[in-house]
Amino acid sequence: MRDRADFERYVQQRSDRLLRTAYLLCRDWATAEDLLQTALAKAWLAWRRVGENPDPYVYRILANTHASWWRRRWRGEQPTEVLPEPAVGDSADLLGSRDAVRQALTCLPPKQRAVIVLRYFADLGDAQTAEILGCSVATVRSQASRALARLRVDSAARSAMSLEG
Amino acid sequence: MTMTDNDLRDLLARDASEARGAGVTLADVDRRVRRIRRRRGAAGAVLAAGLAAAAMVATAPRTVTITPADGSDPAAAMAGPSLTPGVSYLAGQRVFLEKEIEMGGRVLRFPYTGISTSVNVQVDCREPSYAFVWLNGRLETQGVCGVQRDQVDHLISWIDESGGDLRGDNEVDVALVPVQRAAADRDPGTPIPALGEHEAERVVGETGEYRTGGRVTIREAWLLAVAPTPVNCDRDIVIHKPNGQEILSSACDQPSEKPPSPQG
Repeated sequence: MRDRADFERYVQQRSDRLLRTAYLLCRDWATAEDLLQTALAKAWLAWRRVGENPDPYVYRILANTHASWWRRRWRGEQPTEVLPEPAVGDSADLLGSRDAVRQALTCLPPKQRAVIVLRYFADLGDAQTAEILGCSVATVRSQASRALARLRVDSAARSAMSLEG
Repeated sequence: MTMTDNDLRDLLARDASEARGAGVTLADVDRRVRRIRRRRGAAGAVLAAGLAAAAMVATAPRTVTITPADGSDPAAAMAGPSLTPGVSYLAGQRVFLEKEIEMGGRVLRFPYTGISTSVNVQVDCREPSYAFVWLNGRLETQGVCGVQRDQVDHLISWIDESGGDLRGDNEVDVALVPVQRAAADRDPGTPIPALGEHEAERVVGETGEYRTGGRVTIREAWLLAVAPTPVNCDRDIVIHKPNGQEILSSACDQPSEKPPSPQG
């Protein structure tokens, strides 16, 4: 049975990684700490039900809490239909392209952002991401596809996603 | 130039690597747990008030009006129970006083002026403690407070149910001692029996003053008529009105004592 010692071990081992995940969701370190404190507090309150691997539960709270705060606060990060134009040119402009992608990331709605972060930072598969976000695998793929289109990520990457099981 | 998915991974990893701030500690998490619990407790009080109001609306006795046309016996068995309201107390939202506690081993006095007939006193502690609460000089409640060995954050919450009227000036006294002071030579984790007035004062006096952390909150509380208690209502009666109308109803046993009327 999970107990306080388990929880302390979990926080010690995972809080750093979880904080970075929270940061990528909200793009502000102070908010990320706030988000993670809330997620870990809720995880502790439900610790006996969390299961062998607490990560999916904590990721779910992070994503849901971020989405809820985003809806309430409207922190100037509103999704847009028209993307900011990335710097175009040759490989020397890659830095400009990265900045443009960062800007585009902050404009993604919370669910698309969560899909990108869970897939490309937490390295989770579609099935795990679907379980965390409480949606179907098909929804994860379509959200990812839309997000990557907004980020102007290489179409080969988008094709690779649709082939994955 | 568009990015590949590996570029995206690198970008996210790089952005996330530039960590700033102190990070999140267990103490941070524990403080957030306490905040969530307090918020849930307040929400529960509001919900209970709403449920109580709904219960009061739902318990009006029902009658059935019939007009016999064919001479058949109108006293058909349609007993409907009448309900006797019970009593309960409910803490409200209005806070009379909220103060930080910074000293243990000493009886701290918190005078307040209340506008409700009852009062809810809540004490929460930042360290494992044992708390005593007096109201107008009388030891009313005591217990463990703060995070104990069971890793549960205990909160003292007490409502005066003496039936008196606490509107006006009152005094709440609170004293905190380390939990082992009250536990004496008991095995850790075993329940601590309540101490009497003199014993409580002795324990506090012998502890001596020390720095600690906590908070006392004094808020309104009201006597409420809720959760009706069913009584025996199985005797059918027919009420004959002067206009010839007959009302089928039920006769109930008399309650043992007259319920107080709702206040608030």
